[in-house]
Amino acid sequence: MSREAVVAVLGRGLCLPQAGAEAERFGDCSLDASLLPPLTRRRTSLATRMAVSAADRACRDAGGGRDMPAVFVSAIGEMQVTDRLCQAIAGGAFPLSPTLFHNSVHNTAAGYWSIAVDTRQPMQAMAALADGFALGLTEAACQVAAGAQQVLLVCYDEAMPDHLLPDYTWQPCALALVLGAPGDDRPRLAMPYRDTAADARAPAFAVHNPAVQGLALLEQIQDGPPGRHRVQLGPGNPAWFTELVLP
Amino acid sequence: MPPPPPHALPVTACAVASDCGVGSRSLLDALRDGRTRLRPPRLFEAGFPAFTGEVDAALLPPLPGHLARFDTRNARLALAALDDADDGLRAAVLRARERYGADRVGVILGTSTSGIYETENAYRSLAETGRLPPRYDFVHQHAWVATARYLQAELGLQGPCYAVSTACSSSSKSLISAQRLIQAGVCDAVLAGGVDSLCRMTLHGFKSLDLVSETPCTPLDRHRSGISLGEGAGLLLLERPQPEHAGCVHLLGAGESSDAHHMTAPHPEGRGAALAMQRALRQAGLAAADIDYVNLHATGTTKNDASEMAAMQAVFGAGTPCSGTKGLTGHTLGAAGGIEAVIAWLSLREGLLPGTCGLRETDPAFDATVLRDTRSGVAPRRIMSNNFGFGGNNTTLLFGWAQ
Repeated sequence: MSREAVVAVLGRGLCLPQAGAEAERFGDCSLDASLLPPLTRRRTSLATRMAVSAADRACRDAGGGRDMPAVFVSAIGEMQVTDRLCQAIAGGAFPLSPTLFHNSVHNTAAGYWSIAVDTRQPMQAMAALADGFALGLTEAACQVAAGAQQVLLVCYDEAMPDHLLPDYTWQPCALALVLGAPGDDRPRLAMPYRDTAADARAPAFAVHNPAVQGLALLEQIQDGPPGRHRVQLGPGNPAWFTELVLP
Repeated sequence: MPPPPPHALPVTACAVASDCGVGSRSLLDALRDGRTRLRPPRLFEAGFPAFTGEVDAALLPPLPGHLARFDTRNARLALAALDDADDGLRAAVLRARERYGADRVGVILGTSTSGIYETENAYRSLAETGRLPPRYDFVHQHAWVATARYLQAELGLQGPCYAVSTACSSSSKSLISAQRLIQAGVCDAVLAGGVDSLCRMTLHGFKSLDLVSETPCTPLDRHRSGISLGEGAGLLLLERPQPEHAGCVHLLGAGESSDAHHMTAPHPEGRGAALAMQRALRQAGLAAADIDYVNLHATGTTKNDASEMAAMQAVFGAGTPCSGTKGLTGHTLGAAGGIEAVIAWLSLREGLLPGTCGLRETDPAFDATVLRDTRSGVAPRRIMSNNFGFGGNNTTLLFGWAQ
C-alpha cells in the first residue's frame, strides 16, 4: 500500500467525561449530548451520549455541517445495556424492557445520531476491539475514496461491567474526526497500515479502549511541528500506524 | 497505482448454514420445495408461543482445540458453513491467501448477536454462584468481533478484520465494506457476510416489542403477524476481478441510507428503503427495468412489509417480481443479508425466482408482483436484495452476471 495521504482531517471532537487535568490540553471534553431530545438523553447509555457529544463537537469544528455518512466504532458498544438485559434474563424477569432491547444494538449511537441530525446518509457501526480506531479510520478513508465528500468517524467506549472484563480498566472516551478528500492546507493521513512497533512510541495512556488509542493522533495533530509523522494507532506488535502530514 | 476496478466484484465462493441445513444445496432444496423449516424452539424454553429457524445441533462442529476459547454457537455456525465440501469456501479462501498474501485478505463479518447466547448461560452461573464459569471468555466469545477473529485465525489470514453490527442490515453492510476495501486497494479479497445465533435476548426482545408471530411467519400476507427468528451463517468471498472470474456471479453495486425517523419503526412511506434501492441502481449503472427479481427484506411484521412495499412501488411500480424468503429461514437478523445474498447467488446460477414460503393471500394493499411459489426454468440476470435494520439502517445489494 502507498503511504500517500488519502484523507484530510477537517474537524476534531473529544469527550472525556471523567478525565481530570490531563485532558485540559485537548480543550472542552465535557459530556454535552444536548443534540438528543431530553427523553432520549435520559434513556441512552453514557456510550451513546459520549459519541453524540464528540460527533457534534467535531462537526462544529469542521464548519457545522452534519449531513454526511458516519462510521461509529466501539469495542463493546452498549454492553452496559446488554448487561442489564442479561441479568434480567438470568433472573427470569420477563417481559424485557423494549427500550433496553432496542437500545442494546451496536448501532444505537449511529441510529440516534442520524435521527437527531436528520440525515439520510449511511450510518456504519463496527467493532474491532483495540484495533477499532485504526480500522474505523480505514473504513472511513475507504468511504472517502469511494466518493464521499465528508465522513464522520466516531470512536467511543464506556467502561466495561466489572464482572465481565476485570482486567480492562479504561476511562470512558469518545473521539470524533470529520474527514474529507486530502487538500494541502489541512492535516492529512495515509491509509492505516500494519508494521513492527519496535521504533514506535507507545500511544499516550495506552490501554485497550480503542478511542483512547486515537488520542496519540489527536495530540500530534494539535501539537506536532509541520512535516511528516508516523503515528501509532493501536497496541500490539505488529501494530497499526498512519502517516500524518502537518501543513 | 493501477486504475481502480469497476464497482462490480466477483463472488468467487460462498457458503451457508441455516435451519434448511448446511451448504447451499440444502438451501436450494428448500427454495425449490417451499416447505417451512420453522418449529417451536428447542435450544431453550421460550415461555410463549413462537417458531424459530434453529440449526440442528448435530450439524454444528466443535472448534479445533487450539481455537477452543472462541467456541460459541456463532463460531460453530461459521465453521459448519466454511467446511461444507460442495461449497468449498475454505479451499477458495486458502487459494486467495496463497495468491494475494495473508495480509491482503480481510475478514469483515456482520453479526447482531455474536456470543450473547453464551453470555446468557454464563449469567445464569453468575446469578447462582456469583462467578462466571471458567471457560467463559468475553473477548473471544461475546465481543462483536469474536467470530470474525475466529475465522481470521482459522484461515491464517492477516488482513483487516472487523465486525459490522447494524442490527438486521449487518451482513449486507459487511459486503459493502468489503467492496470498498477492495476498490480502495486495501485488500485483494475479503471474506464477508454474517453469522447470528438464536438467543433469549433477541426472542424476548422482539416479543417485548410485540413483533413475534405465534405461528410460522407469513411475510407479505394480509394476515401476517410478526417475525419468526432464525439463525445461521451466510459467507461470501469477494475478490479483485481476475480474467478467470468473468463467469462468476458479481456484486454489481450497493446502496445504503438512513431513515432518520425512528429506532424501531420504519419510515411509513419507505423513504430510506427507496433511497437505498435507488443508490444501488445508480452505483451499478442500472435502471429499475434492468432488475429481474427483488428479494425483499419482508420480515412479516405489519409495518415493515408495508413500508418496504411502498418503497418498491416508488422505485419499481408494480411489475417487478419480488418475494420474501424468511418463511423458510426465519429472520436471521445479522446473518440475513449474507444468507439472502447466497439466495440471490443460487437464483442466478440455478435459474429460479424464489417464492414466499408461508404466503397464502398477498396483502391487497400491495400493488406488486409478489411470487408465492418458486419459479424454475427462468434465467434472471440481475437480482436485488434488501435488508433493513433498527436505527433506520437500510441496505440494498445488486447481484448479477458481469456482462
